[in-house]
Amino acid sequence: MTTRDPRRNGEAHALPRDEALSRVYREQADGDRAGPPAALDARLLAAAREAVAAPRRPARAPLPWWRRLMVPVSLAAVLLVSATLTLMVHDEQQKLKAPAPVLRQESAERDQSRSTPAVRDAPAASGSSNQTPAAIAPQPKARAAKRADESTRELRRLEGVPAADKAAAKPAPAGQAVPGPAPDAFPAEAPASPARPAAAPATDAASGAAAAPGAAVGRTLTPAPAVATPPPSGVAPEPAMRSRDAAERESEQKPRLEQKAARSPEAWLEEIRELKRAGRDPEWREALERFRARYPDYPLPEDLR
Amino acid sequence: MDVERSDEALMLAYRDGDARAFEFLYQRHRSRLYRWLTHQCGSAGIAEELYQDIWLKVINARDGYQVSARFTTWLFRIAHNRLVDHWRASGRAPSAVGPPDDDDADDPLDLVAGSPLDEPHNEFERKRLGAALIRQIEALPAVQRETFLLAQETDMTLEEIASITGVNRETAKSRMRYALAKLRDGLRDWQ
Repeated sequence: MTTRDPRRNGEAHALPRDEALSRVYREQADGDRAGPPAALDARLLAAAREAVAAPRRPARAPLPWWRRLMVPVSLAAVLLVSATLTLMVHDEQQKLKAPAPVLRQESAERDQSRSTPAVRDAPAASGSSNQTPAAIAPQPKARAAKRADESTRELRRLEGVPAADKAAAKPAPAGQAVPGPAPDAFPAEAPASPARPAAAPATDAASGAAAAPGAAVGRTLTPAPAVATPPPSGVAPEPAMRSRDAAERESEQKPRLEQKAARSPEAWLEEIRELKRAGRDPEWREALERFRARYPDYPLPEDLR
Repeated sequence: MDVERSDEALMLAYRDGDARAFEFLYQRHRSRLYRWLTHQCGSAGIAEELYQDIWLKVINARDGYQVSARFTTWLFRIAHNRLVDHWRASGRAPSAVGPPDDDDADDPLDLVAGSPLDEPHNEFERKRLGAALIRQIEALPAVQRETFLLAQETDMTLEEIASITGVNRETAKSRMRYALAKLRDGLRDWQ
């Protein structure tokens, strides 16, 4: 039957075959007219012609490495610049937000101290000036105070009111007749809105000082006496000298204001720490409260908790 | 002129834009490929779907065609891969069970009783024998059937069949022997 027919290359490499089976298969295949449907043939031949007719896309040369990396590198650069700008703007906004309440508190403090000039004179006269923040301030503060003093004098000159005359026109302040507490190193926290509301206490003579610094400077020249009692003779300074002292203190206030406005939370904390070290217990606690109100999310150092 | 050109020359001509070369090539291989698929799938519908996919792959691959093997080998390799995809998709992976790879094993052909196939002389009986053979082929395990059909439909060597089916030469040879043995055994009545 069977012809095991090594067609090629000998027995070992030949494909086993059965000629009789192959012959029957071929006859069956030749007789079998079944093939793919004519429609399928037509579809495939049309697809083949269409593929040839379509314009062949030119082979694109591979892009150099820098062209391939251009898009991702550009995106990364844009992201980096955007993030940097966002952080910078955020920092600037934080800096702009921080000084506003401090300035208002400074004004309030100044108003309070102006309403009781005797109180303000007390620490200076008693030689405890080194307890005040102005005294604690570093050396550049003194230069700033000088500059502020000069600007105040210039303002007086422009207003045409000699300092000595103004001081003389006013009744002498109470002097040390009513000793009061030392001025706050850190005034109470004011509302966050930058404009002072109109409903501020009318009794506060300098309530508009924060809103209008120029007006505040003008008002410092005419402080209202808090106490109507005449000063004890021999204790109160001469009116001209008193006026000069007040003017100098006012001029000291300005750089203090500027510095406090620009101080960072770290600097503020350092000042609180100084107060604590100085043993001014209620003051540093109060200042700390104000700090926490101002920077509620700022982590407090261990020594101030 | 085109009739005399080899398959590879026709495919190269088609690659270079000669649509008519593809028509010749298509006519030359359409029946055998369709038959091979029909016997493998047992369903004309599936065979037509696979047939179309295979020729479309040939058309789409024309740009990168290089003569690295005979066109028939290339075409049936595409067909084999498509058929395997179909088997996998239908959850009917062809089993490799059966023929050992060892060429020294007992030859299945020797186990089949060996009187020659009595080929009938009249037309009717020959057609009956042909139909019986097709039924036996379609009853073979898929891998043996594929090997047998490749050997019948093409003039491929053992190495080419082994290459297309992804096995070594001895495995392909064993599959062929087992296929022949089973077919003979199935046609015992004609002996």
